[in-house]
Amino acid sequence: MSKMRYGTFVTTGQPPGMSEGWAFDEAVAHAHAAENLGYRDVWVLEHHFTPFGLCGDALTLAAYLLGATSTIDVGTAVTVVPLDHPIRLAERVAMIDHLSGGRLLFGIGRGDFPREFEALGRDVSESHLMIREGWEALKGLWAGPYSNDGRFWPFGQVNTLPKPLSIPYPKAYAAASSPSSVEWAARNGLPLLLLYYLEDEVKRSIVDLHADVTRECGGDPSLTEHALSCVAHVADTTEQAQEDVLARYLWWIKAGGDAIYELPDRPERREINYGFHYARRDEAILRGARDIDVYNVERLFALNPIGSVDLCVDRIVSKAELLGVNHIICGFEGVSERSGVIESMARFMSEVVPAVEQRQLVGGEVSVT
Amino acid sequence: MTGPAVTNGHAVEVPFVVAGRRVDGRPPAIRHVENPWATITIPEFSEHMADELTTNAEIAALPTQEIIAFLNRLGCLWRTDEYPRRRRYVRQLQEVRGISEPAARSEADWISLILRGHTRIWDQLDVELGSRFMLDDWIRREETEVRAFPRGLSVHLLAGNVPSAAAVSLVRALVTKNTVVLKAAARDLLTPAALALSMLDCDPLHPVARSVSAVYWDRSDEAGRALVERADAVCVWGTLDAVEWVRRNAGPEAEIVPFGPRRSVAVVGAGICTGTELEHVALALAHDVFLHDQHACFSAQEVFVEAPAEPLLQELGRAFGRYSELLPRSRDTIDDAAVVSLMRRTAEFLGAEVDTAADGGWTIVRGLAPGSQHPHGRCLYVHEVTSLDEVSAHLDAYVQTVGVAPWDLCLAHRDDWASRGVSRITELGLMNLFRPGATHDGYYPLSRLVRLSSTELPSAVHGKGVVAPINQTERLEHGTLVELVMS
Repeated sequence: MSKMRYGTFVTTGQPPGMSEGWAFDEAVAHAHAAENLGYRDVWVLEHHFTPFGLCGDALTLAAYLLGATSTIDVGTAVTVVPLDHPIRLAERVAMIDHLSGGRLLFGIGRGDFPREFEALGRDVSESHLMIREGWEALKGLWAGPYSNDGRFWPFGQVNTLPKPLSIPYPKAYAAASSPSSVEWAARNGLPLLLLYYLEDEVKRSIVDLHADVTRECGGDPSLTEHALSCVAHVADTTEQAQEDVLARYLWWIKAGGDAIYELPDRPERREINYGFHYARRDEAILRGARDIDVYNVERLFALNPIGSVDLCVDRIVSKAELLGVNHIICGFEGVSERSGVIESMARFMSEVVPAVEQRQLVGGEVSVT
Repeated sequence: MTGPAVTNGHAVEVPFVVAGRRVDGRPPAIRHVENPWATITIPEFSEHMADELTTNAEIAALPTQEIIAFLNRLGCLWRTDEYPRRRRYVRQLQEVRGISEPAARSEADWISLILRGHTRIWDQLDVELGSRFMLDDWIRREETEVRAFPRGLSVHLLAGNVPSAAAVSLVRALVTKNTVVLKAAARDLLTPAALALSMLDCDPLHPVARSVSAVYWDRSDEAGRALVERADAVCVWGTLDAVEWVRRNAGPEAEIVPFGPRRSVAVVGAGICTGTELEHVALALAHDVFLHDQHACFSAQEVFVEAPAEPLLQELGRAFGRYSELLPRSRDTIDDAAVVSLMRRTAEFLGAEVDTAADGGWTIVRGLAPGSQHPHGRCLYVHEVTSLDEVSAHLDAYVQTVGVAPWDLCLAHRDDWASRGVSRITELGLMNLFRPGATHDGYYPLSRLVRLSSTELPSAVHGKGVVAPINQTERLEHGTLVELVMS
């Protein structure tokens, strides 16, 4: 296995009592810290109408962070393709690629929160079709003059400028968990951003499906470099780590949940494209959870490197082995103080990462998952 | 040959699941299993693995409702094509087994139905054990209280002819609180692994998930034989040879639950001769012939038609054509195609009428003797009889299901047919539906997967028909034992 690459997320979440400016200051500070600590990439989120994340345009924040840093790559996790015009996206991505010297990582998705679609006049039930048309248009626009006769963004021939610095375009990823989207990503040669809240075996089945389709298309799945997203926190003990992050996670999960589940008694609620949101909620109810937010935080604890150094090492090694990934992106913003976030990032890099490398070098047994 | 052409052999890796833990094959401890469409690489079954396969006390202690709820959650996952594991399973059934996409989807749908059919599972427990509470509590039965307990370690030697049968065996064993080892068949290594892995998708720490294993060994493997020897129950699906192997190798106290080779037949009475009813009967018969390409023991292989047979035969061609679209046939191997081709030639040589689809996808033969060797592959032997009384002579204990139309034939003939050994009688078109209460090869499988314990009332209770306290010593001394029961 090649050397593991580590990245981090900045969420721009605005917890109660904190200002909007604070959310962005933290994001920038955490990005700087990541660069200084040796993380290879930092990723920004995109959401609307929710304190879950104040960044409404991942490319804008990515451009800012790229300008404020010098070596670290910056990725979008994700740019919601259905909510933007492909011509505008193609131009901005290519420009940022140039300005950053090729340090932009372009993560795309079809959108997570139905209300964003409603407000922007898009039909959420067609998001899977929109991302397909949008991606085709982006590739065409980056390659040369292009016209689009699709349903969502028909336009005559135009030649967007600049063309990307990276050939043929910046390294792109797709956030996909439904089989239809995974198959689409594989057909387009897009590696996946694997989601932190899915059971490991579900993630593995997604990776396997991607590999099947890649192979069918004549590709070599062993060359696909998926990235695994996690939430992470390191402390002296696992109990301490969970206690450190519990309050922030509960707020963050609730804020995200409010944004997702905001469409009660509406047909969109059960749209097949977004069924997985409700499947998670149904699952919590079936498991007897009284509070879905508490349940979801418990799932995060069970699945992610949140704990002692040993637990974090075991989880990283076992996930890397199961999924065949060598790129892990960790979100550390589980504690309220900036110093606490950066200390956790530093401890992860100085204690967990070397131990993971050592474990992988000797092929040691994984005792905890 | 029908279906998409075989372009190349796929290389597929299938893991084992050992006591709820995924085990991937790592060289050199791997085995390659080849079929006409793929080479499947699996881990080598080892003694070390077998040692891990022991009775899990957790599931034995779990309330039945929790087991059924977990299975229901699992079935809900399998319900949608947007479940990644289902999607991959459906793809792999096509690639690795040559099954058509609609048929593969149908298998996945059946897996979902079997897993999430909670009300039917409760009914099945009620019927087969006498009470749906029997595994959770002591149930009053006259002068005793009875409770059912799991056998313990149940090993399921699957046949692989009907992929979703793995789900049937799994559910039966789990709802009776047994630890389950699904031993895959060489021709279907996918389904047991997919079922066990999907439990890990659902909740890898759940006692049910930790009580299920999916492995493979071949019959010469000592580790597998030794596991069967110490199993508390062995369900064996498939050939007589497989059943006999289990009888030789299972422990003396093990409960053997055999689902050996069976055949099934259809019977159509003369009352149906025109119009939509005839069309309906032809479609029902086509369903029972086409589902699983006749590899299931409940598939109709021959139909006895009360004369005249012509109206039904004319309708059957259209019905078979319709079902060729609904459930396109699996890709043939060369051997399969050769067997069907030989049967057609032989039938023609013997003077039978042979009607074959333009693409060779189905065959209807009229004029062969009942019980003639059957090649599977959607071949229906039609026997015209002047009276349905003639059918009885061709029924025996190897007939699992008789599908009838019209339904009143059942009432007229079931005593005779059942006394000859027939296990089930259904309406035509429903031969694959095992309704709650249905017998399977002559018995109730759930009852074979439990052992019963009883606690009996103390001497203070005389009991029905007893006229005095039960003091046996005193009665022996006085020679009055015979008076204990009221005259």
